[in-house]
Amino acid sequence: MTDELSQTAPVIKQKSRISPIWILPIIALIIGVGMFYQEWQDRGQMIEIAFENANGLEEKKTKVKFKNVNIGTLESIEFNEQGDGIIAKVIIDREMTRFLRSDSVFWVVRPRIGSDGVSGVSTLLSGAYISMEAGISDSISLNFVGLESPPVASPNDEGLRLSLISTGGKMLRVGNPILYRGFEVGAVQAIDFDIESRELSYDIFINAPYHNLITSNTFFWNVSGFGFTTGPQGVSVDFSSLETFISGGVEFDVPEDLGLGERVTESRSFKLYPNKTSVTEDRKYEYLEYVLLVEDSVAGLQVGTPVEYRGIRIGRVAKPYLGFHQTNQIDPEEERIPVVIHIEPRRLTEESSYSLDWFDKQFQHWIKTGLGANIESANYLTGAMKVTLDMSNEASGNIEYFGDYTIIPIGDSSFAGILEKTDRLLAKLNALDIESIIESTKQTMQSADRTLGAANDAILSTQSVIQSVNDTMIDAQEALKGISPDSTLYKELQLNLIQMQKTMDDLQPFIQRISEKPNLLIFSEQPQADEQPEGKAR
Amino acid sequence: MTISRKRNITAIAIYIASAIAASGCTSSAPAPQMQHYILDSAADRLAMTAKVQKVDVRIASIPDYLNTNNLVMQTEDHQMVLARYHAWANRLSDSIASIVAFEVNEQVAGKEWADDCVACQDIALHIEHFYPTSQGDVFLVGHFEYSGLNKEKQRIRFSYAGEMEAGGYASAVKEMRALLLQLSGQISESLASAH
Repeated sequence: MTDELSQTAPVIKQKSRISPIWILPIIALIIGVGMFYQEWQDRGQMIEIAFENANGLEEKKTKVKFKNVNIGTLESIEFNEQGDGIIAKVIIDREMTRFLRSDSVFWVVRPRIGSDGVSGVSTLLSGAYISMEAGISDSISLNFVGLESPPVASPNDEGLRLSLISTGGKMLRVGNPILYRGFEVGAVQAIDFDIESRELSYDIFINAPYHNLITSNTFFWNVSGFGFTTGPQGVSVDFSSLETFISGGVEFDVPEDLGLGERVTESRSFKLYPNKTSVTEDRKYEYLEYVLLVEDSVAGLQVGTPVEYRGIRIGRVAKPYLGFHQTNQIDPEEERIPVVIHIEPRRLTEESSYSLDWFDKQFQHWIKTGLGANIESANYLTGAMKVTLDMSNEASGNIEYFGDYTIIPIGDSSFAGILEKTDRLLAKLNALDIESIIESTKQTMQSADRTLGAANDAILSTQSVIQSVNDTMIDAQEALKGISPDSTLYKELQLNLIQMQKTMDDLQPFIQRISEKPNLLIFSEQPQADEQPEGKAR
Repeated sequence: MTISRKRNITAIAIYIASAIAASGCTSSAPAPQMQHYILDSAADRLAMTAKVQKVDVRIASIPDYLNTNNLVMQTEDHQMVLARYHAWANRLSDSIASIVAFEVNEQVAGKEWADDCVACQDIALHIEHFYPTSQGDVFLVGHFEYSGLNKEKQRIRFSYAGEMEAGGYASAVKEMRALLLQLSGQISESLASAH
């Protein structure tokens, strides 16, 4: 029994701890891990871009493009903490993360209709996308502030970034062109209004190589729309181009009276003048200050009214009238109106050897020797006035002052001066000896009578000259008869005439053929041999 | 009009335009060579004789159709045809005057009336017809004038006709010269009888 039992004892075999049935799940797990790793590898780098709104953006669909190549996808959109904007979470392909420089810029490309035209039309079908322009910074960033409009220049564009400070004038927009003599060389990049200084600041970008045109003596002015100004020179319309008329723009140049100056190589700010005229009018010059004491009206005088010397602009009116308080402090008895003018010698010459002191001394000399100022109408249509200086006064030999101001006397051609002149004229007329003038006139008439007699003699003499000319003509006729048929001149003339006749005869058949068939001049005729006379057999 | 017909018309128009352009561009048959003729071919004789000219011949009038370099020919229907490729080397009126003057001076050599032509006998030659015909006839018709014994102006008519031995303008020129020699003989006789 025992043997039987021992013989029938089960054989215990050592089983494998892992059932083969697990092989498939393990393989599946390995593949799954591999896929997960691959997915993780392909997932890329997530970055965050802040925009004002999510207009046109769709999660999982909106692409991110760099130079029109897809480099990522918008993963999700969230509100920012303040709730006044959105954060677009974007996954950038891992190999493209090297372009995520801290100065890289992002903006949403969507259809835009603006003053500078229509853009982003292709996105009507494809949908909006986020465009990127890589920066040049060495540092990598994962958080960006997106632009609401396409950038004018990418960070790595060559050129010059400047700032224009405007205190008024027409408003510019981002993208408005920067022109040099009508040629577009840059654009407005950004606009900022400083509340403290109440100034408008425009960031502009001048493309290379035109940034070399920017020098220390460059002036910028607004050419938006068209300007319609009336001034001493009359009515002027400033119209730069159709584009700037519609959308606005800025033009710059170096005034003709200035040298080019030093090249500007680094970012700096310039003043933006409201128009081209104001560049000349409002430029800051070194000046000498004088005062005119005007008895007449100062209506029409404004700050900036030109001061001219015999038609040459040499300055401007600084104060059409000195304030009552100041006038009263200087001289309470003064009834005339003090007009402060600035003489700007640099308008006349850039030569540094002529200093302001030199001009001051020169003006003082001229004042002593008769320099006078007059207020005249510069434009009867607009009522604008101007101050003119000339040497119309009598030399006084001395200089008067009004407070600290040197006085330029009012000239004789002013209204007061005209009255004085009229008085002097009347006085002189009164003093005239009319009788002696009449007597003198009689004598003059007698003298004229004698002169007429002399003229009659001259006419008779002229008649004899005419007769002489007639005789000369007869002689000339005789001389012409000398051209006999044997003379060289006659033979040459005859030869030329014969030659001319021969040429005309030769041309006659040709002209006749052309008149019959004008197209012979263009199309050749099929040549045919001439028909010839036949011989007669003897 | 169907589209296919429009295409056909367009094709024909292009073909015609191309043909015209091609015909304009392709070179046509070569033009016949230009032939020049000289009426007086006796230059060697001219150098050897007539040292002193006594008779001066001038062409007083000549038909318009001879005032051209092109040779002319009268056809059967009395049309004058100007040759395009046969031309005179010299002006025809000059050649006629030269030939007649030379021949007349040769024939009147025995009589010297003057040392030079300032005071020599003047013959005014009026040519009325001088041409070959397409049938091979050559005509020379006109009159000449000179001063007679009493200084009276004499007017003599002449009319000669010849026949070309062979066809072509070269033969016609030869016959024309022969007629001029006949005229020269008549002028010489007239001058001889007048003096």
